[in-house]
Amino acid sequence: MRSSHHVQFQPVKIRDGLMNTAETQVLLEDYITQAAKELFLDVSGFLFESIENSDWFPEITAVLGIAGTCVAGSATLGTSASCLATLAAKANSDMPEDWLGELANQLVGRFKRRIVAHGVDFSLGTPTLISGERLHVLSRFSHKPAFTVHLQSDIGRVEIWLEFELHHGGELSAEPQDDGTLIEGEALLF
Amino acid sequence: MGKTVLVVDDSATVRQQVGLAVKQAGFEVVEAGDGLEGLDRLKNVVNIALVVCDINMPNMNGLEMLEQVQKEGKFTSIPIIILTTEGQPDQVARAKKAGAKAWIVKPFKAELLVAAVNKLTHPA
Repeated sequence: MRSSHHVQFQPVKIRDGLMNTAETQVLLEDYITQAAKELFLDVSGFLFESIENSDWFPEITAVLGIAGTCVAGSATLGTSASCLATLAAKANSDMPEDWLGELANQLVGRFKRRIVAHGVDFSLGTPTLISGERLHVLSRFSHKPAFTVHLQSDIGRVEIWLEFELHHGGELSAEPQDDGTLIEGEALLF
Repeated sequence: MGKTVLVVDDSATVRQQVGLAVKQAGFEVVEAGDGLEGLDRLKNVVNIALVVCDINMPNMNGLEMLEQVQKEGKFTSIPIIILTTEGQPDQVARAKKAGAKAWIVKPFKAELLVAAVNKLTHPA
């Protein structure tokens, strides 16, 4: 039994060979944005659109570590308490903070599926939740790529921050390969 | 006493969602927050008919729990469904080798999960 119910965004092919830093950055941002929009649509039915950054800070943020043989980094998913309350209600959850942690887990999971297709694998940490006023993520690396994605919907805003550092010769292949990774919602009985 | 599904996930919300789905299908539910707790429940709760288990959890992840169940040999007749954000072939193969009976990638559709649970707990 193998079944899936989701329409998925497709991996992006840039060119043959390996990606340079600029292309990598574009791809990372594209993939995390795709993954987020897709996730929120799947789990809540709400469409989140990309917006420019402004003087807005999340009230609660989930933080999740990323680690692999040739990659290290972290991702955050932050939102307002009111937006999170709506998202949690849609998930039939009476534990909004827990749901945000799980959303961060699923977000990075979707992002990982796209990155793995380009030849780089990594593991996800378990999420940690932080709440407060004017939460602001700071990168340790002034010279390394880290970026923020802002999305908005009818129920509020989310902010995603991603730091994804390739090292030890790690590079993303320009062309994604389908290695048989199962997609979201897919079920396989052995 | 009805059949019981053990739900192992570090997210209380996911445990709640899975629990709701399988309760509506007539099962009772017990929960665990990680693989170590999951092993403890298997040893101490009677009538567990099936396990739904995440991969990425603190203390002991789902694959480690699966492999420990296989190593101990006592609960290998209980079918285990992996429910996770992961989906790579090598992990699926590792789970299958360790005795898992199904793999579902989150987010799950309740009817699909229940169909898998029913199929695995009511063998033809």
